[in-house]
Amino acid sequence: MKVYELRNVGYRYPTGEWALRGVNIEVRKGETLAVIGPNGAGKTTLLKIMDALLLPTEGEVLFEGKPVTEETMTDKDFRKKVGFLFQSPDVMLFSATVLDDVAFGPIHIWGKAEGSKRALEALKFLGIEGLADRHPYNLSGGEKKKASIAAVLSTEPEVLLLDEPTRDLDLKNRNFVLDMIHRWKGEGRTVVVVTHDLRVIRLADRVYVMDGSVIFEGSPRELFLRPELIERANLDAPEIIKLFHALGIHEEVPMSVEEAAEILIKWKREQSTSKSSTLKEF
Amino acid sequence: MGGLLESTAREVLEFTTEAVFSERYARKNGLLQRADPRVKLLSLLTLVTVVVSLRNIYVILFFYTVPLVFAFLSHIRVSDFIKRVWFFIPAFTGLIAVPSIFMIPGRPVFTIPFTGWSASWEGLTWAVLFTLRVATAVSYAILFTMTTRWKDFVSALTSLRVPGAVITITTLAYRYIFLLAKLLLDSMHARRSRLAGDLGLVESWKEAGKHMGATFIKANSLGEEVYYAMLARGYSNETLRSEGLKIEKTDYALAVFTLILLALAVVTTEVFR
Ligand SMILES: Nc1ncnc2c1ncn2[C@@H]1O[C@H](COP(=O)(O)OP(=O)(O)OP(=O)(O)O)[C@@H](O)[C@H]1O
Ligand SMILES: [Mg+2]
Repeated sequence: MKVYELRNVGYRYPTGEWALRGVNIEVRKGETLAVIGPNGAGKTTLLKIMDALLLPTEGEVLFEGKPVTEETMTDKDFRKKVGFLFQSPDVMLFSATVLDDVAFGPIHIWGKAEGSKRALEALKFLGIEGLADRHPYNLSGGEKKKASIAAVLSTEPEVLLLDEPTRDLDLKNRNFVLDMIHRWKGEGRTVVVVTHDLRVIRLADRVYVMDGSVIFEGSPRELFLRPELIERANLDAPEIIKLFHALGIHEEVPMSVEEAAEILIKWKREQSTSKSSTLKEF
Repeated sequence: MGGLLESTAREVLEFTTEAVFSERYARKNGLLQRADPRVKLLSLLTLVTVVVSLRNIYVILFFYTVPLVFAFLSHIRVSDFIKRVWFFIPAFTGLIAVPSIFMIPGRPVFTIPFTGWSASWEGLTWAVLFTLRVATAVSYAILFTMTTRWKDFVSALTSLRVPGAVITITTLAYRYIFLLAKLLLDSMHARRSRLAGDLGLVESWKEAGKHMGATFIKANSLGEEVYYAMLARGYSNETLRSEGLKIEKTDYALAVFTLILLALAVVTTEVFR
């Protein structure tokens, strides 16, 4: 089943600038989709369109087969189903306390008692219940990010739109977010994640590379086979992949150190057997 | 000098941000914090109307002490409260009160040499009364804000049938100001860290002007983002039903007390006419 279908979508900001042109994207239920591209490629704009915050200037967006319209913008069901993690946590946090802030969504959906309960659960899940009474203004960058993740989680959305979820986080918390995406995948939730983080890309079933429009669609492995795309997306190619390119191995691309080791061992074995056979021929 | 200007501005900003947004006192369990926000709001409106129409200095002084007592009963440090009230007064009234000392005709008290401007007794009295009245009205308002959480205030507006559009605008303005203050402070810190020496006074005013302009533009687009962030989380221009609001003993007492003050004001106005 298709969760999203974008048909020839274009978006022009009131300033006259086209952020997106001719975008065709499909998101299937339960898949994890990574969207990458250089700064200003229109990734955030794309997510806003998917979250019905912006309506496309041209083209059409279907959510679960139904067109997204002005009404979708304030549709409770839609808001309950889709959660959006904004790029900047400063935008997301605007209440007097962290708890109030996280409860903002759930209270709008389930009412006060149930909403507050769920907000507290979300804080606990992220291990930041200690921040509940703190003013979001005084939090550290990473704490803010975690609070805004809690805010999105608290409504238990089926579809998650994440705009750079691992930015601002230290290694431990980046791992936490990666695990979380992994878990959502396991639970059959649909995840669309904009990222510059290669470890997130590896988790994805499919990758879209954007630069005003879609310039590539395929699996992470297919993406890593094409250094020119990695460069175009301003991604920092992982060291192992660089190593493989330097060694002139193009047939296979490792997605982790373990895989790299496997490939190299196999490659070495092949080299030695072919060498010994040539020796015998002499 | 420029450094002084900037650090003053920063202090003002830090102070207001903390004062308005932390809700530190509003979350204490004092007398007014327990009162229903609707009753508090109606009392506030009544009393401010009463105060601005007062003419007698003793009556005004009496009305000035009432919020002090209530601040104490609401676990607010009275010195904090007084500071917060008078913090805003000079800017508010200086512009109006000071010129009027010289503009209102009457018995001269002193004359500023070389200018021929003379202060009149009537002008002085008026200025003192005016300032005191403003301070008193502001006291009630600040007492309200210090003891009421923002979301309770919004619930109160809703259940008093204030139109949804007004509430939405109020809500957005609150978020927006919060953001603006944050942004202004952050960028002040950022600018400070990139500035080697101190600028001269004129230069730093010019810089401040440019800086404010840029910040407003930034805050404007951020305001839009905040609106999107609210929409994304289920906000739909409608306000929440006010749940959990209940009129209790404290509220009746507060209402009665407000009425007594109102009666007192009417009576004294008649007596001192
Ligand atoms: N509110 C706006 N008004 C006008 N133009 C905008 C607005 N927001 C974004 N743009 C422009 O639209 C283009 C796409 O912006 P977008 O934020 O979608 O990029 P992005 O891919 O998310 O970039 P980044 O990686 O830096 O977050 C950019 O050229 C940007 O300058
Ligand atoms: Mg972006």
